[in-house]
Amino acid sequence: MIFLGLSIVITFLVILSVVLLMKRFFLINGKKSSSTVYKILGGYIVILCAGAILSLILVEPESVIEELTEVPFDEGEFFEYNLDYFNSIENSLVYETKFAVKNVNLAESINNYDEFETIILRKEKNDDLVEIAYYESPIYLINYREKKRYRMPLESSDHKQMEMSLIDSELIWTNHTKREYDFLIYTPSIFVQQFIEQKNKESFNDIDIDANFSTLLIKVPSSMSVDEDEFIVIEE
Amino acid sequence: MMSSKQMELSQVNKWDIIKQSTIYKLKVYDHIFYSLLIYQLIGFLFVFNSTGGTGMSMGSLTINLEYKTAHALFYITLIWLIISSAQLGLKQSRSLMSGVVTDNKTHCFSNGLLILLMSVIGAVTIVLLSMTAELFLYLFNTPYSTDLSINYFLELLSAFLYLLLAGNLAYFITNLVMRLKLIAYLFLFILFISSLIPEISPITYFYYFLFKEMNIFLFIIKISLLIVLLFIGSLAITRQMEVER
Amino acid sequence: MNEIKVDHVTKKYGKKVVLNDLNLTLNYPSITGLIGRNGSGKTTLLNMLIGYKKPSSGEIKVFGEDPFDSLFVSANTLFVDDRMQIPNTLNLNEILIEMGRFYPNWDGQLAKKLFNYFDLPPNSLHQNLSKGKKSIFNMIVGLSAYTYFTVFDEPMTGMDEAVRKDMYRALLKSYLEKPRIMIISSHHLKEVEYLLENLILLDEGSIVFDSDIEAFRSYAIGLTGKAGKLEKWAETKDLLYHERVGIDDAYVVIKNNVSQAELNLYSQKQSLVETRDLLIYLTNKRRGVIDDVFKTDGIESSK
Repeated sequence: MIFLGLSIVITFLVILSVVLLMKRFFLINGKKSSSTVYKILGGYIVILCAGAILSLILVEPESVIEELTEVPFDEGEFFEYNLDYFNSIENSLVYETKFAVKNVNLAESINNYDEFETIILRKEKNDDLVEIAYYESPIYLINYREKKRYRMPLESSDHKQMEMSLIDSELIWTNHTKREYDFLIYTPSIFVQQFIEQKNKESFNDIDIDANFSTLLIKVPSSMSVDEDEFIVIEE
Repeated sequence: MMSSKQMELSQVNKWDIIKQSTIYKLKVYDHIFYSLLIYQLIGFLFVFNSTGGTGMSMGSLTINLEYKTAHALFYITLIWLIISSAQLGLKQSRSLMSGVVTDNKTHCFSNGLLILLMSVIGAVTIVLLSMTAELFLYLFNTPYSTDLSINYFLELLSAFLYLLLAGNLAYFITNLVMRLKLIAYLFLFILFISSLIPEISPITYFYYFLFKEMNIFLFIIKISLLIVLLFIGSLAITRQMEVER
Repeated sequence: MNEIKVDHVTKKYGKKVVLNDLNLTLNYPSITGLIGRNGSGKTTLLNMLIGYKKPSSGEIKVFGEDPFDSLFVSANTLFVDDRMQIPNTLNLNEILIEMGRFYPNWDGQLAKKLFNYFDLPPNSLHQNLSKGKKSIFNMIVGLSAYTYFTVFDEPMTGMDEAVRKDMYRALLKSYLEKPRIMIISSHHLKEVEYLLENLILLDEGSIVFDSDIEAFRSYAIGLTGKAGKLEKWAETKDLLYHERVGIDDAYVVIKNNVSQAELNLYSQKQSLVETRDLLIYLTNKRRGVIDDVFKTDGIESSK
């Protein structure tokens, strides 16, 4: 932020000094010319044009904007989980590991920041291998006004703070990750806002996070016992 | 035979004089465009203040959104235009023209032309400067998102029309106050009283009439009508203005 | 139709009557002097002729048109005085160029030559000039514009003697080159007299005299003679002024409508009246002289 502030101040000073220099420049021999200001104005507009053209060329939003074709699914809707679903979404696998275990209780360690689903997949084979995969769909910001959604450009390295550990024959999952992102949205000027259709006329910037899913998928050997009241269990 | 020394009365073309008056005023009132530069550079700084921000969280995920707009630029340019247009409506402005060829009608028309020019330059600089500001925000802030569906031509047109309206309004009101003080104060008084009751307030009606109009073509028609009405009003007021030096 | 006509014009500010039922005509070409004391209504009359103000009643026609708010009249008229609106964001040179763009008959060459002759700094601003130089500049504008109707209201304020002399000469030469309708309003009647063809004397809103300059010069006659006899007789004529001279002589000024014989009878010496003095006599409401104010015998002269 300091960097930004500094650059703003410097730019301001640069433009100001250019303006003053031009004023001085056109006052050669102390002769005041009334057309000075129009030359300066012309120069100013040329600089702005350059800035605008650069802006058109260089500015690319980090987020990918997609059309909102469907409303993301409401709460309470239940759908069939299957492996294909998870694997179909690009980059959604963020963590995986395997454990060789015997006689394990599955427990969930929840700390305050977590909200995800845990799904147990009972494998057909009975190897003593517990496979864990954590999926997260890309995070979207939904703009109801524009009927668009922005996919957030998030780094997967942010997810480093996950761990699955085996403590006293209990599988404990912790996710210490606190993900915080700063995002800047540049909204249209006030004098065009009135022409943009608003779905929700009250709040113009109606933006919501849509993190479609975050799911911890645990594949367990067929012999392992799982409390079916605690977890969603699906068969492979 | 007429003496070769005999002078003839000269005829002048109204439009020539309007054009010449406008050029003359542009030269005499050059401080107007100096002040535009200063106002806009200040407004440029204000763009970097966000208009608002939200924090959203979902589980371990927190997203801080910051909104930035170029509204400040528009407001500042609007203020500049209003002040400059009001200056044109003062008695001094008319008396300045007494040194050259003029009459009230050409004076009013050339003022209207000036306001038009100021609106054009104001609108152009607003749009270009906001694009340049966006460039800066992009370069120094990541990540960044913008609404690429912005129609720059629409921005230009809308800004121009709003500025033109404000300029003509300021000019009209200044003329009204200069010439018909009583009516002006009465008008403002009624406006103030009625604005206390939002239901019948003409300001509220005006707000919905213009600022909430979503159809672009209707908007253009409405605002153009208003602008023309205001200008005709200014013409009518300045018609019998005496010159005070 | 190329004349200026004032027809029963009255101007009131509230209840105060500034100009009272004026009638006059200015023909092309002519140089007319508009003379009057302070507050006589000169400036008001000029403002209305130029079209800055409207009369309360009556009609003014300049080139057949109402001058108020008339573009046609504005293009053919120029008012030169110390309140001339010269912008301060252009330098003098640029102002001359701008004037040239407005006035159809503008003579840029003349302006430049006059500029150089009077040593005006071309890059200076009008507000930075001394009072005298400002007047010089205004006069240059007035002369170079060659407008059909030009008004000069105290145009020589601040100018030194030598410059004034040159300016009057320039004015005359300019007029002779292209005769126009000119009005010169000045308090320095003696200086400006030789330029004038006609003279209009305004006093307290009314026209006291309106004719050619020669008629003015011979309007009145000054008589010196024995106090008692002369004064008594003079009272029966159009007496304009009287004053005691010496022990028992008197000097009176009467309108020149008396036969030579009568003049010889009642006076010992006759003389022409200076226009400057005539102006005072015609407009003076007081009958005494300033000296009376300083009299120590306590008698105030008041008749």
